[in-house]
Amino acid sequence: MDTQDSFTGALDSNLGLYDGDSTNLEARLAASDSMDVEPQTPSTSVRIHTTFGADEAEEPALDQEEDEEEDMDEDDLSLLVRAWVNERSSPEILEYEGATLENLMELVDFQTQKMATQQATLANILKMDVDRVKYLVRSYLRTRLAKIEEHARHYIKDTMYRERLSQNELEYAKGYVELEERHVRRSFLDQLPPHLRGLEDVAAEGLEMVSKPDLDAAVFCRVRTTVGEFQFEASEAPIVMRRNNIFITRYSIIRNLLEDGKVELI
Amino acid sequence: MLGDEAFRLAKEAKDIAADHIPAYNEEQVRLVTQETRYLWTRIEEMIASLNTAVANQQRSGSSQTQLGSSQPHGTPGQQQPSQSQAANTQQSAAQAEIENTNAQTALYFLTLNRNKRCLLAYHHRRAQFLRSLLWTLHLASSMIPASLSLRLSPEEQNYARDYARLNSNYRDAVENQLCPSDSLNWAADGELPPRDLFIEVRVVKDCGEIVTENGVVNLQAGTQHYLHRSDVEHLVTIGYLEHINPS
Amino acid sequence: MVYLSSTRYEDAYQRIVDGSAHSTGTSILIFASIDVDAICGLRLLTTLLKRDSIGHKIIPVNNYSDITQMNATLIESNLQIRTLVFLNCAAQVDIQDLVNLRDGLSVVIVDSHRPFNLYNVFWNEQVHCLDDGDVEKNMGELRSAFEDIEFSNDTDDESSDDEAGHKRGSDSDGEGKKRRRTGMDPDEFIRLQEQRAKKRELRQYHQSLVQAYYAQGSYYGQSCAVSMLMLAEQMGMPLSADLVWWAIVGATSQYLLHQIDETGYALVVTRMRDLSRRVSLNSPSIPLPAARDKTTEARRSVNYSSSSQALLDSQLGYPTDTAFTPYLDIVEEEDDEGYLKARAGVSTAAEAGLLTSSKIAAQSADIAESSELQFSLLRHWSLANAMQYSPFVARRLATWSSRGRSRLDLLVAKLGLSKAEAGAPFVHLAPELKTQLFKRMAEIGADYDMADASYRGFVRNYGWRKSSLSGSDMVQALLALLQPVEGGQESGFFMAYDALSQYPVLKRGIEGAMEMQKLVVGQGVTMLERQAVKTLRSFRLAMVGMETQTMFGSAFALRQLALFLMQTLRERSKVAQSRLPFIIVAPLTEDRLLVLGVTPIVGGPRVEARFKSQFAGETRNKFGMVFEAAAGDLGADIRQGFFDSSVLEIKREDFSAFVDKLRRHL
Repeated sequence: MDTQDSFTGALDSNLGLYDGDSTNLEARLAASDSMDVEPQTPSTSVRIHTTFGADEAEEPALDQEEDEEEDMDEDDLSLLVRAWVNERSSPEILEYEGATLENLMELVDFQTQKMATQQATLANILKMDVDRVKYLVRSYLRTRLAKIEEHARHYIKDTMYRERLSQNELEYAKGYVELEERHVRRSFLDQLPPHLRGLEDVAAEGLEMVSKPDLDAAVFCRVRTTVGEFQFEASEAPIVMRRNNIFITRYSIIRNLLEDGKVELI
Repeated sequence: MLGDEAFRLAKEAKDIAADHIPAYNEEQVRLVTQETRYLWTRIEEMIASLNTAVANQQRSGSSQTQLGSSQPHGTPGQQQPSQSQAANTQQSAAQAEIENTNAQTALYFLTLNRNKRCLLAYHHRRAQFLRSLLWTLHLASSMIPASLSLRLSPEEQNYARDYARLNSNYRDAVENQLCPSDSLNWAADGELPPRDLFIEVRVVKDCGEIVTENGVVNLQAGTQHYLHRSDVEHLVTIGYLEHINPS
Repeated sequence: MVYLSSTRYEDAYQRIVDGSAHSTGTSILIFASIDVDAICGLRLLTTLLKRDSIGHKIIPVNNYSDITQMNATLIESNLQIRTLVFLNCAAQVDIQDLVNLRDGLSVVIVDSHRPFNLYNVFWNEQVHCLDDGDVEKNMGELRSAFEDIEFSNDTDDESSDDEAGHKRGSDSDGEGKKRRRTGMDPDEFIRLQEQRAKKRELRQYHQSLVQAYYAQGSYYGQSCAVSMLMLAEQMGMPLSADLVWWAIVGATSQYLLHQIDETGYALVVTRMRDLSRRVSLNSPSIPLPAARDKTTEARRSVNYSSSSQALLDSQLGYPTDTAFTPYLDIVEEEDDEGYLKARAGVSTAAEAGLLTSSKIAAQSADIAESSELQFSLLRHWSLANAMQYSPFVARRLATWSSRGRSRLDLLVAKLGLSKAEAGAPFVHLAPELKTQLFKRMAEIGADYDMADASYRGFVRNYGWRKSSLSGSDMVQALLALLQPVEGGQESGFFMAYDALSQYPVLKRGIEGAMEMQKLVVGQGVTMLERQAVKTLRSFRLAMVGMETQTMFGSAFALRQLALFLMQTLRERSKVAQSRLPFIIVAPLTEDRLLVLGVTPIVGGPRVEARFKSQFAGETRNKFGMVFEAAAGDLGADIRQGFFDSSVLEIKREDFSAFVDKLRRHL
């Protein structure tokens, strides 16, 4: 079933575009950012469906779809992989997957101990596995650190973001802000006239010293569980988001869906 | 011209490449801060003079009306017009002066901010370079080649050390929390996830005996080894070992 | 068993694997001699080890003292090491003299040097030598002799007496012996005496046999690389063109350096021919490679860009991501491979695959048999150069004389080429000329004393964009790369190692080889003209002057020069003198000289029938012992212990005295 899904996932074009009703298509194209990029290669799943608008009644009701929701009961590794990819693609820092990390590291510990009693070849394989997990963990943490460095002040000040950082990350952020400030002060800032020594100036709306993540950055996302009709742009008609559809859109639009795990970034 | 010094700083910031950083231009920084301070003083002066000018203007405006109102008896004719004319030109001159100063103040003010921005950008770009450098060196701030540290200001050298320390504290804290009896092998940070357990390396610079989690290995110059990647990755990164591409 | 017959090579590998199962770290040390055969064998071995993810360490060595030095640092102190592999070294020396064979340490020896040290082959359970058949077939008697000497002891005589005494029912021990004797039956006594005498005789015979075995002089057995290939086959490794090619190169190096004779070489060729056919049939058609930029070639740094590597990979059928962009292709000189197949090495168009290769866009990376001409590196420069700098041609035509040179010109003309064509790069010649060349050579070669100009060899194709290389080309290239450079011997070793799979390095080697050829022939000709070779009663001595570059400070280059000189003189001198062994001397440093002793491969000292070997026929090189004896007489400080026992380093000041001593021993 998995392979089948991935196949359709790769080739499936969004139903919204692929319909016989050209006026609808044009309207869509004439509109805004959120646009389906997948090529028009028909996949089996699309062929099955008839035109979008007209025969909706013939399609299975969205809540009665046969293919299961994406397995919500993932193992820790898949969770971390997903979190890692999300983290790499999103403009803002996301929730810290503390529980996942801890679970994973426990497993690693267990496996490392097991390695010691195994024969060399098996031990090698286990070690390789452990190495790759560690790589993932390192990369995940590193990505987050890099993002923290970009918007450190903001993440500290804003409560919502603050809560997304682990304790260690918060420490890091504070230390980093301090470090930067110290550096700049000692290098020249303290030589400037007192009024100019601020580091959190606001020149105008949007032109602030404290940088914030750009929530309107473009991202690719894949739908994990069918959402049904979704309002991408206020001026647009809603588009159906089915499982395995892929969209490119502004981050802010799917932000909540991402948080709920209904989509993942790619 | 105003802002030239800052412009030069900005240009130097642009010169920073992936592997090259020009020397810290302390002189230039000083010039910019100096200019900034100077401008600020001038602004203060100008604002002071503006205040007085505006105050004067108000006074002369009222005195003007006074002057005008005290016209009824007395000799009309030439005296009043010339007086008000003079007063007018004086007023417009003063006005012009005010506007002039206003404009200049505004200009200086903008320059001030621009200077600040340039200074910040300059330092920020350099700090960025330092940070990525430290990451490639696996946070060994002592490993910065002498030729490079010559080009850093003493502040920047402090920055490098402190940044390294900040990160190693973080790493230690993370390791303590997640895997107290093990290590996350931070030094093995490669670009890609490991694909092979083993790599083939040649010893370029003698490393002597190293202790790895797989035992002791003697890495003499002129020998070739095939062993666990994780044992020697860090030596490959810093060039003591040469990684042989699979053939 | 401590020698492994050719069907049992896999046991050796099994030992290696077993050793590694105990720990995840490096447990294998591979000592590889710095020579072409060893490097090829090493390549084969590491391919196997890598396939099985077995960690190992490679140490290039030149001399037995290198090994003993390593013993202390690497082996004794490191209990993790469980297997030692010796490639092209250690067969002739009792391993226990080199390393400390502690319990649990296994040794595998894949060495083509002979004679074996009998302790390695018959005695030590921890040591495994790969046998090419000689031990099994020809050394049976030797084995009994050896075992007789080693395992029996003098008390045997006594114990047989005891037994006799026991039967008589005597019940006391120590003193009983004497009593038994006196109390013995005279007939019994005589019988026993006779028995003892026979035993003694037998013992003496055995001892002389063993001595004769060691005294026969050194020679060569099966190529290390070929042995490794057989091992790989037994281990179930799927044979690829690379693997077979490496074995071919190893064997060809033996032939080129006159370590094996024609018969031995023919044996190898037959075996390799089958294998190469098998491999070539299987080679897939591969997508054409991406554009290769000249800067990559020009960069010539140690780290090769992945693009060249990808190029080679794509040749070999490994997946690459390079796409073919024809308009970006930079056409190099060695192109139109299809025509190249009509090179002089192939006699018929069918064999050349002419009809097939130029039509198909897909290339093949395969091995083809070919008849090679003794014109060195023919494919890589012009025919004129190849002939001029070929030692073979030089000595047959005597090109150091003006008469010889005009004969050469005449020959070239008779071969159907104009001067311009002869001077043009060989690959540019029209295909008809190339086939014609070969035919004409076969026809008229005899007139120029070059009837044996052709021999059977192999050629490796790399696709239509790269020139092919013959086995001898490769050997020459590798020898050139092995020349000692600033980086010490090891860097040459690793360059040669890389060259076996990286085409750009190989090209560099070819260029070095061309230089070397020029030097060898040039130097040889100069020496012949100046009559720098002295013919003494029992040997010939050639001295390379100080004014030459230190190119000849390496054994390989010096050997090529020596072979050239020796063969030239042999072919021009009286029969009696033609058997003379040949010694060549060249400066190594300011005060040290390198001495090499070369024995003619045919017509050298005869060998006893029972010690025949498949590969080396009748030739034996006695210089090892001779040098040692002479040096011993002198008490001089010499440096021996090279794997090739006919190589020696000596101080300049000791040399003339040394020569005197040599006279006595030859």
